[in-house]
Amino acid sequence: MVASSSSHESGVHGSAIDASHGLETEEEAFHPWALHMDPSGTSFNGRQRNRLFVACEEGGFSDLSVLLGSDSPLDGRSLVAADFDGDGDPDLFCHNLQAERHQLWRNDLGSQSRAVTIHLRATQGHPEAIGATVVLEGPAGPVAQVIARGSGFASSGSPNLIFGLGSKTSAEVKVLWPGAATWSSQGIVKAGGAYLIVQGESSPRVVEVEAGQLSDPWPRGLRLPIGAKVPPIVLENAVGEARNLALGVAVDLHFWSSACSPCVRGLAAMDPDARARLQLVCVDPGLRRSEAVRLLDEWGIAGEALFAPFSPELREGSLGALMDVGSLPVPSTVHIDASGILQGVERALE
Amino acid sequence: MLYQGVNRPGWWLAIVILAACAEENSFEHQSGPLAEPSGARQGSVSGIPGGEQAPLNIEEPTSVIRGPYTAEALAGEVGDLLTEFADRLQVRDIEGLEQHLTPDFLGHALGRMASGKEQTLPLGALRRELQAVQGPGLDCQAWLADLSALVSNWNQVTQAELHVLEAEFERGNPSPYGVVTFRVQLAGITLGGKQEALARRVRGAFLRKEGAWALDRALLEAGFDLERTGPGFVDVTNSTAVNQRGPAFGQPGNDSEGWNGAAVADVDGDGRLDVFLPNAMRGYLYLNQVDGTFREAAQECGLLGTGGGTGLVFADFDADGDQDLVMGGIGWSNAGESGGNPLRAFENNGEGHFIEVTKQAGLGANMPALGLVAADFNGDGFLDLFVAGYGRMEAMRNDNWIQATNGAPDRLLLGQEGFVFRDGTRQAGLHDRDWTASALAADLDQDGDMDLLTLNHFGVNRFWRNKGSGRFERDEQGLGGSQARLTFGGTLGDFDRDGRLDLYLAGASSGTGRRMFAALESTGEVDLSRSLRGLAQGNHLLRGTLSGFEVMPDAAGAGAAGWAWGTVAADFDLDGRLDLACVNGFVTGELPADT
Repeated sequence: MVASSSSHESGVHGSAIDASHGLETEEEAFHPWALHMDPSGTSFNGRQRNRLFVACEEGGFSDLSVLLGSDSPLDGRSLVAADFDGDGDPDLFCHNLQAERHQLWRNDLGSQSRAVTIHLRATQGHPEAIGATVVLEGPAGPVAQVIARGSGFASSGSPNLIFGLGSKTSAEVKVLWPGAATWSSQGIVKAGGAYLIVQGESSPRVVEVEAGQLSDPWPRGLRLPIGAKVPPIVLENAVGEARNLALGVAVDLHFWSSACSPCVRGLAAMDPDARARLQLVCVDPGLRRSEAVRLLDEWGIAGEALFAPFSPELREGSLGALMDVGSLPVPSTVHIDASGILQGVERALE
Repeated sequence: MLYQGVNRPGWWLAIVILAACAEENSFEHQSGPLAEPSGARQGSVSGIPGGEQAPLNIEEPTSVIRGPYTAEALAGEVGDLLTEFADRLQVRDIEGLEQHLTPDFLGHALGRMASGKEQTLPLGALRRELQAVQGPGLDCQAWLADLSALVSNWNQVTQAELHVLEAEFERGNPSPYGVVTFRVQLAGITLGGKQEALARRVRGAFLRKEGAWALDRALLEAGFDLERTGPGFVDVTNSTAVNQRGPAFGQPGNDSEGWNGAAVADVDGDGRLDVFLPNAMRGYLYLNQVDGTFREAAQECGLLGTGGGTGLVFADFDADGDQDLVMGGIGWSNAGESGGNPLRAFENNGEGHFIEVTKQAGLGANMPALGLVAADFNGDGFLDLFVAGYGRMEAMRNDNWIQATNGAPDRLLLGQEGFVFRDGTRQAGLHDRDWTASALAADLDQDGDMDLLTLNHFGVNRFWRNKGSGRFERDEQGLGGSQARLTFGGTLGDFDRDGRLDLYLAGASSGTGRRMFAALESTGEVDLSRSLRGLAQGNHLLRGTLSGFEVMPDAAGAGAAGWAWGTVAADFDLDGRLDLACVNGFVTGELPADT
């Protein structure tokens, strides 16, 4: 930690980045809440999974975090929901504490046709109608939402509001405009539409939205998109000796685990010629490798058994540019062509 | 003695209160068998046919360690063991688990799926309860084989977590024996794409073996399974190019807990929503492109060196049709009674390029702003700013844990014509010294002006009623006696569908805290215990009424969210009911230990 004496100067002005900012003496370089924990070692209420509580028909919420895909264990701070791709449903963007700072989740629940997006424009007071409460007569009762600038934790979310209509095709909208003590009826909106509601007008204006879709995710576990050049890959044998993957020839890397029944069943049942065309890479930890070697012998697979390095350091140095082995589903087959381009990933489906 | 400690601020107490607690307990807030205290303490087993054999038994410690600090330290040791156990399960290192069991281990099978009562949950999810059946235990190899059968059926273990819920230890130095109730959560994806998850509550006996704890008995007390097939949320961070990395936690530029804010607006006027994420080293402005990706453009747009990065808002402060930016920076390393950095203001030129106008806007004064809320509080047509004043913890820690009075002052900055502010705090009557982390604004009493909720650390939250023209009065009953005392964020939304805004609060949760404060109650400190538990109780849901908010029991099922920071209400499945998302976690280190 570099020592400098800038810790007691007043706020940093201007747009230049002060490279010494934050590099005070070692004692002062950490906020007191962090001072008493090892910043690179011990956790403090760490590894917690983001939550998604889904409202139930009968009232209350159900914690479905573990089933819906947004339950990252990173240390989240701010969180906003907004329709980033214009498809009508709210996506999620989070700012984390870790080096992997930013995370965006596309909402694929697939019910966009049930959405109504509401933009407001006030004609009295500030035009953005910040603080207005909007009520839509939804299928399960009237739902109120507020146009907020500053909400959650250190967050400022979507400037427009999204309502779900469920099975209803249209609904009435009411607005409590900033400065008004009575509700204004603003007319009817239809499912699947986006509307601008102007204070004083009796019917909503239709807004044309350029609908798109946030780009499809890279295959799960991979750190490169299809079509990217794959860096040199280093694997290891059963006793941990490095083995460089040959370059310049097309290869199908088949990642498997002896602890994964579908992997073992699939490989055992595979046509031997087809199996021979795969370069098998076992992802098992050291204690299990003898079992993997035994299975390979049983299947009559000649040649040295290859493994993904197990320690995080080795993984980063060898396969890390291509994939996060820990989050790669197995079995997976990764196709790399003769010029080293990632051509695709195949997952066996039962 | 603890009472004195509560009034004598010191980091040691914070550590005690907040320590060792990844074991926040989602079961406590749910209905069903896991919510009940372990009434059937012995031999309530599932999945194993009842027979003539004696049920599995666990001996209670004969002389229990009473000191909460010692007991928690031991619970922490077992917690670390459970974390290591979970890490091995995550990579299906079943053989590696054997070292954490005693040679004489006996336990009920955890991995076989439940076959009891079924309940349909939203989004086509299914929940199945475990049937409780008496039965003997499996030995080490059979028990591990059962776990192995579960995880080997998945093409990926997506979650493996084991957390301490309750712990008692036999006296001794070192303690030789402990009875620890813990929660097991495992999740994975089958080859067919079905998401499966199971939760189990296990009462375990732990022995200290050659200096390390090992599991000797595992009694299954309760549990349920969840499953669902179908798409949910998809992480598109990489494919949409919002994957720029910052320094790791603890490195220069990322050395506070990272008050990492985020704000959404269409900054370049192309009709698509962009995101700005400030940070100490540099800001990130992700401009939403037509092709479904984002382009990082902080430098070309003038938002690279914003520094800071606590609360921030985009709004059209000068009413010229584009989105300007004001952001806070808590600046905890600055001197002065309240310290902090000035807010910084950036004017949009209409095309998404920002010019700093902090001084012209009259925002030169230092203030340790954590939350920032824009609204027209005095009804003059110009946007004002409410600045949630936190404090400078390194110079002056909170003077009390349950109702601190030395936080930095909040500010109400009144907007004038043309993106200029003047301080109107005093006239507004917003004069408290709470450690305010966040704030929310809405016309909660529907009388034509914007009311305020301030969400605080080390004290209760506040309802400030706007009495007209931006003069505020604190409504002491307005939050229904809510005992939340360590709130990080909150969101307003109508969760009971009565046309009125309700309030969801995201706050600290700590299994350690709850256990210790409950122990305090048994010493007769009932009121203090109740107040202290407000520091560790998790999230809260308050129902809005015309006269104020009412506390909903168990947050209507949305209470357990870990150590929660940001939260947002939205109807994610568009069924006409608002859902809740919440992010959490204080600091995750590289070691399995959680202090």
